[in-house]
Amino acid sequence: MSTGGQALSLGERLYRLSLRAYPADFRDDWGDEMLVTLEARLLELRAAFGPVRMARFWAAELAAVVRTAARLRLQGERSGARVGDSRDRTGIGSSGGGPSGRGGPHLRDSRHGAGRVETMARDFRWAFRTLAKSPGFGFVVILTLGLAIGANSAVFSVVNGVLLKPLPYPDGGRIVTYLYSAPGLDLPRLPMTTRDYMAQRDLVRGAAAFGVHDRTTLDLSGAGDPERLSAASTSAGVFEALGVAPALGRTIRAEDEQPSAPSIVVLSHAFWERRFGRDPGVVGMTLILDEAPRQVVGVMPERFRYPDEAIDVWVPLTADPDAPLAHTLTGVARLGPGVEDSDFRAELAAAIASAFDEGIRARGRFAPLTQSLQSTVVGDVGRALWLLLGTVGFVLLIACVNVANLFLVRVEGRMQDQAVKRALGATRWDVARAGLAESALLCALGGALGLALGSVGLRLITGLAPAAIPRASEIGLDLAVVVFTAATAAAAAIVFGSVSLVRPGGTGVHRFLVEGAAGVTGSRARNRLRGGLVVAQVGLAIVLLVGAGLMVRTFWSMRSVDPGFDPNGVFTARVVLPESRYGAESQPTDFFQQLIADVVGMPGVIAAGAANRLPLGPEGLGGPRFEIEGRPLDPEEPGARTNIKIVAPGYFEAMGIGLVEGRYLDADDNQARTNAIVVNRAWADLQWPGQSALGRRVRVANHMSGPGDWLTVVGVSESVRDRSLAEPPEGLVYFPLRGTERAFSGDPRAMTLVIRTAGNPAALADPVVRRVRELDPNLPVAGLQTMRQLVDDSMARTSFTMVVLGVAALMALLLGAVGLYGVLSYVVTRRTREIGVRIALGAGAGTVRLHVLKNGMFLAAVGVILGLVGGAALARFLEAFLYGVGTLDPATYGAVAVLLLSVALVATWLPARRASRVDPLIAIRVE
Amino acid sequence: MSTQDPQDRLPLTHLTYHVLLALADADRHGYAIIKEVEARTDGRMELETGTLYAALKRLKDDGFIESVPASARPPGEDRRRRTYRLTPLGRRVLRAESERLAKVLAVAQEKHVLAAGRG
Repeated sequence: MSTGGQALSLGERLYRLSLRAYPADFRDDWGDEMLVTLEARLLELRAAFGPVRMARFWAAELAAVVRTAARLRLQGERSGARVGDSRDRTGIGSSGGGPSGRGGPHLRDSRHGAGRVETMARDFRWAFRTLAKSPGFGFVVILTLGLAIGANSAVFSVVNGVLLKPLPYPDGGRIVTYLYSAPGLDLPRLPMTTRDYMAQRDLVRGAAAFGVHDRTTLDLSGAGDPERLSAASTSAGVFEALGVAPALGRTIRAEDEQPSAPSIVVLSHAFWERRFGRDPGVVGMTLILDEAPRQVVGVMPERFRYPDEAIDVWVPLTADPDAPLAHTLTGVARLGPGVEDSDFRAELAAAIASAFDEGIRARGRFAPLTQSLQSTVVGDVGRALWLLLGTVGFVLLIACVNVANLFLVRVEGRMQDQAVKRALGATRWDVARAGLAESALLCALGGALGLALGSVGLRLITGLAPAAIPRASEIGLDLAVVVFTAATAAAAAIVFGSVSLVRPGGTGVHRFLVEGAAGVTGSRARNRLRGGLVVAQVGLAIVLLVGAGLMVRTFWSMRSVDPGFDPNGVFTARVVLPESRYGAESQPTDFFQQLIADVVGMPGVIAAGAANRLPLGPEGLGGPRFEIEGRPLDPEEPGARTNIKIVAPGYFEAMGIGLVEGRYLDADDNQARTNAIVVNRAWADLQWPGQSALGRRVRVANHMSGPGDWLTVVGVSESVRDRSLAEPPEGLVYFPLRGTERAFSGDPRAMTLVIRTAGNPAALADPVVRRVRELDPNLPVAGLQTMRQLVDDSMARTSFTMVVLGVAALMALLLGAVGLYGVLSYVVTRRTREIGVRIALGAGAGTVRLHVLKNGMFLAAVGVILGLVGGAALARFLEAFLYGVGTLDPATYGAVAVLLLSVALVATWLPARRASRVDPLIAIRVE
Repeated sequence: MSTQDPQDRLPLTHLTYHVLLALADADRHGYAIIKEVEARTDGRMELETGTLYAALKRLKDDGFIESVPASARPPGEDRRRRTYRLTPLGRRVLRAESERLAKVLAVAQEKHVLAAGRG
């Protein structure tokens, strides 16, 4: 375990990679041994050195590799000529003073047999000196590349961590998650019941291991602050299927599933660290969870976070054949060797056949639904991430075009110099090599800056991103990212370096000399290339601006949609009463009515109520099936469900939900068990279209305990967008606190207070918590936030996408403007003499200005047209993110075109004005 | 090789000399050589891994050092890690270089650059 297995540090991985610099035979002979020695040194140094000293150590080690590798390769090349002469060849540590390499790219080395390495070194020294002479150029190039590469590295890190890296489970590709679907009952996803699980235990043989789990919460009390834990009831097979051993103690075993088994709990690493400071003595301790003792039997390793990142503890799922059937379970299985997904599905189908009778099966068309664990974990975040990577990829493209343009200008400025060298006998390759060295140097520096900016950007993204990024703990700058960055920089270097190879007109040394001396604009082909680069930049910027524009429109549509409630001035706090102490039916009602009455008495509070689930809230939605009076149901058949909420009086007023007809629920409904319910407009319209819902009777269809009492609709409220702002409201039935059996999803003991205040809602946090503690000091209070925050959180993905696209588009716009300005300025400077002659011949300032303006705006216009077409083609990738705006929204496209053309006008105006002010006398003298 | 006269191989570089010196009293593996050189120079000479192994390869190619056969190594050693010792040629070269340096030092003492009796 000492050297293998565990993750290597970034430095070690880089070092391993850097060994590739050595000749293959040296590496084969010595590579392993060097790593052993390095590890020994690291073991010693890490204990003694701080991060700065370690960084210096790594720098020295890597530099030594580069130095000695270059030496060895050089000697390898020479050894053909000098076999057997070993004198002074051991002087590896000393830095030899090679040929000085003055005077530009070495002209004839390649033909005189000097080593490639030496020639290369000379090229780089020359490139370095040249750049030092014109730091402005280098600065702009490095910064542009650094920003673009940094953005790409950061986003690629996220994509890599979330989408590309294998899951932290051994052989994770064999793991699938599963549940059922019943399309015949309009249930595309049907979680399973304990009865289904027991049927699977009897019939599924193709899985090496499988199990089911359900998400739940448990209240921790006893020593320390009470806390609400995120828990999963898990069957034994889940841990086995995922193939992860506990860090301490044991996991859940099959015998723990027996109803008579002692109560146990397994802790997550994060919870163990947070609550127990990683005390290994925790195994064997007893925790009070939901007021009942449970013995800690194990702790899972840090990387094990299943089913999601927030998990605190796992408790055994009790396989009780007599428990009421709730469709709440999801399965996870590791496929056995040679077993295909389809074989596994066939076995699940057999389990379905044994669990449901034939009539229901025929109607429901039940089928198993499997999905690889990877796609279950990642969910639909993948699409957003690929979009993000595409976006920053665009910015990188624009940055590269910009830099290519700068290089082009620079190469042209050097043309005369190069022509002289060619005339003196340098080959075209000699000259080009110098350009390559320069671009390689710049791109290496840009890449290094990019890596640094990338690590900063990564922290920004993970901070800014919706908390819902899965596998967030696995995101980091690692070797894959470094390789990605290096590859990006290398690709850029090759592209820019080859710009110096662009030689329209071919071999005419004579022509370079003459042209250079004459100082005319350069060949038509080069002008066209320059113009083409500007068009490309403008076009790419337009594409990004279109994307950003559509996201802004989406954001505003979502902001202006009527959610059906008024989130402003509302504060929420969640209180969960333990069943052991609040078991009697009247207790939760009494507690919450008391608490609400106390809160209403607080200064500034206008109204207060409570609900078991908030709109857009983390508790999600759920509910039973309802039977409408006069329309009988088959109670054995799982059917379409209706969301329900349990509300305490005052909820509608506090949340600002309007009344369509009838009345709200009130305190009498709680005390007197009136069997009154309120339904929302969407459900009323669905069940009784065109008629009043008042006085209608419905009941809960429960296939275990039989149907509930008939309930009477006493009011119809406005519909609320419960699931998300972008989705239309669903049908909803409101129950009073009292009279809700626990058989369906909804628990009157777990309620969220909703308080409307005239003052600052956030200021209510302290007084509310204090009041709850006065009533019961052992109750945890969670979910302290304003309703506005909840709404904003629900838009997190939209605002995140908008911000990222917006920043990228802004960068693109800026780079595009700089590109346009740079090229036009350059053209004007190069043509100063020509312009001077024109002015001398009587052309007015206006004419000259117009000429340059036309030149620039033509390029911009072509770019805008191409960009709009490209944007329209790419906008369909955004479709899933849009709301309230089409992918071809004309207003967005128009606004983007106008914006870019105005920026282009400014960028063109400055060089045009300069051109019109050319003094003909001076201009003619300009070389 | 016909030229086995150690004089042909002088002077040695600083690095070469220190590595050979580190092996003069004991066979050592790479890490131990680094530690020994560091200790003998009061930490002034810190060898990077790459520098050391490039030098070891050169010394081995020149026949100054050889790796100790696996059978002669203590059991339980990491098999990827080789132990090195001086060859007879390496020892002679080391002695020749030391004598050369001693002569240089004697000159320094004669000229009162260095107090006698040191080194």
